[in-house]
Amino acid sequence: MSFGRPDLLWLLALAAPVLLLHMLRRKRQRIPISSLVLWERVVAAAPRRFGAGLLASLLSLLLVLLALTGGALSAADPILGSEAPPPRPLLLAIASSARMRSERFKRALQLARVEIARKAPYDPVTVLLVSDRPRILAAGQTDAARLIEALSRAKPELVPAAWDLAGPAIADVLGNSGRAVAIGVRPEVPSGTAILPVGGENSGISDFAIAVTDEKVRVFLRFSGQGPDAEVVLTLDGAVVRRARAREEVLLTLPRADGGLLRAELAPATGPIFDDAVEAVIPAPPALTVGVSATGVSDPFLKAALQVSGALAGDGEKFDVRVVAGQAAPDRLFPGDWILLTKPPVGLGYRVLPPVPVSPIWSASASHPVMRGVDAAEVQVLGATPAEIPEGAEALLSVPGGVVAAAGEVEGARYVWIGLETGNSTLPVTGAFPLMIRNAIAWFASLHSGVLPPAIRLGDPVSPAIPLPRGTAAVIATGPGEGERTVVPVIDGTFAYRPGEFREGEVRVAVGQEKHRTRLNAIYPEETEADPVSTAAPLVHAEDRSKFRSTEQRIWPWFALCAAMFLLVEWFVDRLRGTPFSR
Amino acid sequence: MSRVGEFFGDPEFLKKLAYLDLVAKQIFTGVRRGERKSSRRGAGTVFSDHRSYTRGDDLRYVDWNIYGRLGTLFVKEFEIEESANVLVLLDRSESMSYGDPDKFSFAVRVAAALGYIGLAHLDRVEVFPLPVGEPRIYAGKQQAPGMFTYLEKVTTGGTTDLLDSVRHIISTSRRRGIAILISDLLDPRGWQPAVDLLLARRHRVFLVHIVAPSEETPELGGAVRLVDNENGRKLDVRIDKRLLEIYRKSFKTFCRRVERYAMSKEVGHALLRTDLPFDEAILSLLRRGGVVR
Repeated sequence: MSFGRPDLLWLLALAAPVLLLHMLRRKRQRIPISSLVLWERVVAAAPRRFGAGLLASLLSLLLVLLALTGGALSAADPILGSEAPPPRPLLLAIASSARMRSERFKRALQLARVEIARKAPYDPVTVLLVSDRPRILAAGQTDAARLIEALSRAKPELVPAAWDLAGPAIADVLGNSGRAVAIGVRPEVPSGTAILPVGGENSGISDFAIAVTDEKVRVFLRFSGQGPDAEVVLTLDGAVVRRARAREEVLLTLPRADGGLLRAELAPATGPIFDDAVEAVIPAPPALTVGVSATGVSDPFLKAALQVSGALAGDGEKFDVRVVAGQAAPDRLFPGDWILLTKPPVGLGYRVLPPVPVSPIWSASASHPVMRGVDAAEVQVLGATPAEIPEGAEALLSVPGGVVAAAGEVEGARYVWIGLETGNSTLPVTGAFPLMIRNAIAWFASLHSGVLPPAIRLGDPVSPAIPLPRGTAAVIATGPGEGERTVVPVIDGTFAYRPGEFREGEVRVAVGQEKHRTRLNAIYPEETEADPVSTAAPLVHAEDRSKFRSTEQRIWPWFALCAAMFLLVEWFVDRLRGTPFSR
Repeated sequence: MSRVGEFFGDPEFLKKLAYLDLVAKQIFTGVRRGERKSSRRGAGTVFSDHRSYTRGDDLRYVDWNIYGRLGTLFVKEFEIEESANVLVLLDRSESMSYGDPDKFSFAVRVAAALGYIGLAHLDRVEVFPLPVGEPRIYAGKQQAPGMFTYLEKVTTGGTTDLLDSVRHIISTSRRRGIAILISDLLDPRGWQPAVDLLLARRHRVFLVHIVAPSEETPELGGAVRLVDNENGRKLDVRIDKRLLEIYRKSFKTFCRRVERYAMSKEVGHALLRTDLPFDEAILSLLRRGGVVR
């Protein structure tokens, strides 16, 4: 047996004055009375019990000494068993940020439970949830059951982890000879903190890609680690737009709205299901305005085509697409979008070829967005001036003598050149011309948006979805600071690109000769990781202090109880001395 | 405040005392004129009897009417009122110094009151402190202050031996009268022989039994050594509830025995507790006990 406060054992010395008092009590008190006449008669008449008084007195002394000993030992805090180390505060800092969603957070809670189980029963534990700011879930709690109950209330949030704000609290615990354990993907904590990483592939939504067209949005989802009853819920700006069973892979098509935040969330059902969510911004369809060069629109077909597009800017208004008709193309295009209804623009590197008297359209580039829906098979041209196009331009329509329509980009200026005399061809009559104009504006619009909608699985690698021509089998992607990589499309016309290391910046994509660019746009870049943190290394938990539970037993209440009992018995003895008296 | 002067400096209280009178059922022969009926006949005012004339009788008392009818000389006798001899026997033994307030102070006041009543009725008051001290004799109300002063000076001392004291008193004061014994009656040899002796000498005896409350219900406990105030004798005793109960009963029996004895011997008796208001004790309890009227 050891003592928590051995310095209080000096209280045992109080036995000396007690003994002294007892001796003084044994020395009878002198009481003068008027006369012994009556008392002598009384004592003579009362029955005697020899020695009983002395015995009672000694018993009383013994009980008082026992009570004193019990009280002194109780005050000295006796402890049974081996000497227990002093309590050691434990701080559990659990990341509850976006990338801790799904299985990771559950793993983190599991690790926290292990830490709680390994603590000494008297160790106070503070649980800190680290999201965009530290939140105290439990403070100085020693009861493991309450800590577990508090952990059950914890949830990750779609915010980054502010480890820098949690740092002072962790440092404070470490400074007070406590332990701090940080549980997260990559906790940035003061030195001395034990780190339990919970990286690795996350269960839930493993792939997410969206393809946005003018009319609809296609969503591709791939799941892992889900039970058969899991359900995925798609919401657009908070409104539920679709529910579907979360099978291994799901392809959903939604009508395109004006854009917004598309969120796919796994709804927990039964089985080993991890909640998860991904988000992507669907851009609103671009609405470009078109301005016509100073000569105005004299061609009635062009006028009709621009009206069909519905984007003709008024006088003095700002516009996005400049239409040049009835005059020569400028030698140099400034950055922007151009529709050139002129003779071949020499300034852009076009070489003018001899005019063609009458000719059908020899070939058309059907895969180009400008030619989408355009049927040029029956079109006849008259007096067209073909041209040889420079590198960087793509032929849209060709006649045997050369190219009569092309699209390209020069120093930030995108253009569509149509070198037909619309009035001298059947192009307008077949409806191909207005379609080409509309497609050209839409193409500009798609390029104008610049940033393709990134599909960001919060807390996982970035997968920006990039639209591809139909039938594309593979694309070459180059991320910021990376070499080329071949990527297989996840859905027809779209591929999900995961950069090796996330960086904010451009990704260049080459599909055949066609080149695309997209910009990575993470919602919380610091919460996005390139590679899952390896969890191959065994998790090292802190020292197991749970064994202290059985070795230490504070028994001061028993001593206090015994002291009280002895005092009670002494009181009874004193009261129940009854007749014994001695002379 | 002195133990006597506290009350006896108050004229109102003295006036109340003067209305009281010591009850003397017997007729005593006094030495001087007083207010009490005497066994002797003489020149009083109240006619008592006739007797035959003898030579030397005062002719003023011859009943001439009878002589006219019978032709024989008879002398008219009248009652004379003489003073009684009041013996105030004040126990001053050490046992009387016990109590709070002490019994002796109370006894002195009682003695002063009874003495004053006697003096107020022209009695001859003899104060005897017991054990025997120097007796003082007072006669006449004007000597009351002297008596008070004397009583004030009396102190406690000695052991109680009532019989010896009474014997001594009787040897010095042979005149019969009213004997008032003011004592706690805690005499190892017993108090009864002393009273019996007084009665045998045909004294009208009053017992004023003084008791301290702490004697009646002592608050003692545990192992104690009781020390006798008078002779220093010691008694080691462990006092518990039961013993206290026996003591209380014993004390009550003692008081009751005194009372019963007084009744049987026609001795005036009053039991006075020292915690009682003194004026109440004098005016009420002594009257109820037949000591005064």
